Amino acid sequence: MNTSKGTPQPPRWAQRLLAMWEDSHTLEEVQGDMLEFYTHWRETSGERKARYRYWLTVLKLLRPFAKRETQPYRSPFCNLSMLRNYLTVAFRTLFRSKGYSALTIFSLALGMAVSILIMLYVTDEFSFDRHHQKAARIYRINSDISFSLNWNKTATSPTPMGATLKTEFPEVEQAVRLGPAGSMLVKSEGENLREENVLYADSTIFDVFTLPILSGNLQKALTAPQSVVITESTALKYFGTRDALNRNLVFNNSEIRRVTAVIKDIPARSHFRADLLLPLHETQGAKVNRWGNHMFTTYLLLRPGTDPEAVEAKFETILQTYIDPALRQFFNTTLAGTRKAGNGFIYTLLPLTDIHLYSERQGELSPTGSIQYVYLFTGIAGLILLIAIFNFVNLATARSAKRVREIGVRKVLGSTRASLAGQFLSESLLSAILALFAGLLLVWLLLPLFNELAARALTFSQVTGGTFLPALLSGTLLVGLSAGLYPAFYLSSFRPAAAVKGKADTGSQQVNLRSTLVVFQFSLSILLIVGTLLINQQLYYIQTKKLGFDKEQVVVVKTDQASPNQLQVFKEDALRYPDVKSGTVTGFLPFANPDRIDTWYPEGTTDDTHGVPLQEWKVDPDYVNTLGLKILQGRNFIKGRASDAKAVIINESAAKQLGYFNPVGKIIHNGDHSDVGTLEIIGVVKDFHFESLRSEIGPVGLHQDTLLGKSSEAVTFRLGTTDVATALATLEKTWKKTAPGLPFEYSFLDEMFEALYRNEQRIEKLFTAFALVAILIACLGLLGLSAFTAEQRTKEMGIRKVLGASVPQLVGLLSRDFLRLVLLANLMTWPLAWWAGKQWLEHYAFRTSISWKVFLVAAVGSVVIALLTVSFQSIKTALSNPVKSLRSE
Amino acid sequence: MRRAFLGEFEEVVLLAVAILDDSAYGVPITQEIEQRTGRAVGFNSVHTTLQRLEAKGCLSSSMGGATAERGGRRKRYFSLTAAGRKALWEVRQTRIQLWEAVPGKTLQLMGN
Repeated sequence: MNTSKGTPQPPRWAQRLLAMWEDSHTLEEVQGDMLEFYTHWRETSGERKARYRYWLTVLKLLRPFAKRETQPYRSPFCNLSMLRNYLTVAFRTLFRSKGYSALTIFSLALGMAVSILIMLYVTDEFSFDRHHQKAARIYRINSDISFSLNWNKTATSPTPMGATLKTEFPEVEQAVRLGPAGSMLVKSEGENLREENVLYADSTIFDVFTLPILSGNLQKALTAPQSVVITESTALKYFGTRDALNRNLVFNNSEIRRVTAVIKDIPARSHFRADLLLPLHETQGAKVNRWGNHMFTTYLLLRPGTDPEAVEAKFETILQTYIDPALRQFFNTTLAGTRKAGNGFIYTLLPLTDIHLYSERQGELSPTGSIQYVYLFTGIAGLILLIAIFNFVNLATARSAKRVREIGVRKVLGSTRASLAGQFLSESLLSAILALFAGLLLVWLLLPLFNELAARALTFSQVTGGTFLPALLSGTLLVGLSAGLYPAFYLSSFRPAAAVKGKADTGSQQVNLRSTLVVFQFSLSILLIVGTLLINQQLYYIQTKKLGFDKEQVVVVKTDQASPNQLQVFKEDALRYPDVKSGTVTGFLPFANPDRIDTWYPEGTTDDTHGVPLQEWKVDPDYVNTLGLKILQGRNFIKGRASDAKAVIINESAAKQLGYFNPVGKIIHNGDHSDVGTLEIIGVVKDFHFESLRSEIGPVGLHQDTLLGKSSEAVTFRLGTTDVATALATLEKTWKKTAPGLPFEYSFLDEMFEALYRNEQRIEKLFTAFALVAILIACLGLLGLSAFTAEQRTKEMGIRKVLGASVPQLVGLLSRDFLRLVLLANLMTWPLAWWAGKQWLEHYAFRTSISWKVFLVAAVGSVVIALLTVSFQSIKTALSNPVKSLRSE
Repeated sequence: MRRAFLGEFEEVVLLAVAILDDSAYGVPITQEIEQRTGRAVGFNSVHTTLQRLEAKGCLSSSMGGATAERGGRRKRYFSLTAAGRKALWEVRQTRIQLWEAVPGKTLQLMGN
């Protein structure tokens, strides 16, 4: 740049300094002028002097702060000193009335804490299955299948479906099937451990889902014979090290499998759980590969940009090409035929990420969540927050009377309405921000409790992490603004002349608004109370309902993997003890999800309209006695009678659907004209509940069978003693003797029954907690309001007292208005609560009726709570010495 | 209307610009003032004063006339605006009025 030797240049550093500091608008001409001067100086006084003067002038030119921008007008909202003033005033106001501020901030904090907890829960619910990199392109095939007009909605699909779609539909990039392997006994060297989360999977699972591998070769992991893929924690459990590649595991004491890969643990937020993966192609179902079998769930990975509906539309060709021949071969009917009878097959695609919240089908790999609960809880969070916001509005407007003068003076001194509104908004924002901190503290404290109630594993770090924080801050801003908006506009509307005198129309309009808000707050609280009571009542109804079987003192011993012979020996040995009254070998207990439903017809018809979807339970002759079922007609199985092998005992529901008044002696068949296809009805048992009370009792048929498969899964004993511990010890000893090497695992029938309603119990607890919080916040508001009213009326009360009013009269006077509001809230809420409760109970086929007692309890409860809250303040005022209140002025 | 107050140095700089007419930019303005008033004037003070006068509306400027001896950089030429001329004229008027108000004998004492 300036390196030419011919013409000497001014000092480089000075030039650089100039370029850095001089105003960019004038830099060019200044540099030019300086250069001219430099040349001039050099010619007149020599190089050295010129350099010196150049430096000097440059230094003098540098006046970084000399030129100031002239300040344009700024609005008060961006004006820093004004904002600082708002903040100062806001802090002063908060501190001046510490009690009220604490009330509003604490109730806001409670509301926020509840909202944050629920937000955590909701985000957790929505985050299922999103960790798979290709999640957006993965779909599960759902099946809606109907035989005999009974639609079955399953998460499973025909065995060959996935592979067929992959070869025939270009849109399908990859397909994978998963299937539950049931519970298995696994050991490496030591004891057998029971594994419940074992899945069969195609080797393509690694192409579709994202399952990070720690060691092994994914390509061959599930294709090699006798292979097993295990997770990191399973590896640690069995081998004490993650490096478990090529080690052996023994399954069910017989099968030896080699670990071909170790993968990372599958995240908890996944719709399937698996600790061990077995090759699916080795299963019997996969080998048979029939279109009629819906045993496995199938997932499709579609090519990028594929419309899933376009794929769904092409399922019809699959139905024609594959299902129709299968129907002809195995069911002696055609696709057109079944459709004509009103039945059919519908296959649809469900996005992977929707499975957790939107799917509740038979054959889900693990229990799913429910979008209804997400909506319900989000709604509750919103309502509770609203109650807290109303507290702020109420107390702010109520106390406005105290601030009338301040506002008047501000207005007279030239404050605009906008800047006054700004001041009040900054007060509410400050409260909201303080409440946020308090709320976060509450969340931190309450999180373990909430996790227990909601059965989650949420952590506090989720609150401060990632996308949650901006939402939290904007939510706080929103809460602050919505709480402050009405007070801000109301307070800033005072006319200065009246306001300076201390008079402002804090008239009936404000009282009306406050009353409305109080009524609303209590309505919401009452709604939650009624909800809690109703859930409680329904749970009580369920737990005390006569189920048609006796669930007390029945112990179920898990016996998978034992041989039929071992089962018989165990049962007979156990029965030698006097405390064991009876025992039966079967896995079909009254909680079984429908395992096997087949259509059975009354004798002489094969008409679909007469077919009954009958659950076939394979039991032994002691079943009826052990479970305490009641035989209404006919007889029980007789031990050892050969003809009873082809006999069936049905329940009332089955008899009704088959159309028999006297079913005993009638023959039913399943359309298969072979020997096993016909059964003679020998008895009818009274209907008993075998599913959750949400659904009607379906038809069941009991018949005797070999002790294989599901029927060998458990031996159930009825105990006749209060000393359960000894009885259990005896059973354990017997079991260990009969089946060495198999673990002794038992559970009680009544506990298994309770487990069916764990969801309801959880909801009840959460509801109770929310109702408590809502009531608490509403009461905090009421406390503030009543304190304020009492304060306003101190003089009035003093005069009344002097004139002879009694304390109870005064308390009544002060409490009456509030009680009226709470009663009004009760009246207004009852219809709504009744309607909502009825809607909820509709989910139950067997339900309690909504009794008037629920409303009575809610009413009395809310009135008593409100009375206690209000009377705290009113009694204080009523008791105070009138001399004190009348002394001043 | 707001009157433009001119400081003494501002007045000198304005006058220098007026004298130089078409060729008024930083270097000749500084040299003109040095030669005519005989005081040592720093370029820096001239520069800031020019900026200030332009902000006050007494001067307007335009860029032009790049030469090799300036390293190819343009000059900022200044010229008086109507307001600038008016301000100068007012200063002059005030001076004259003041001088005329001075009694004759005082003038004599001042050695005139």
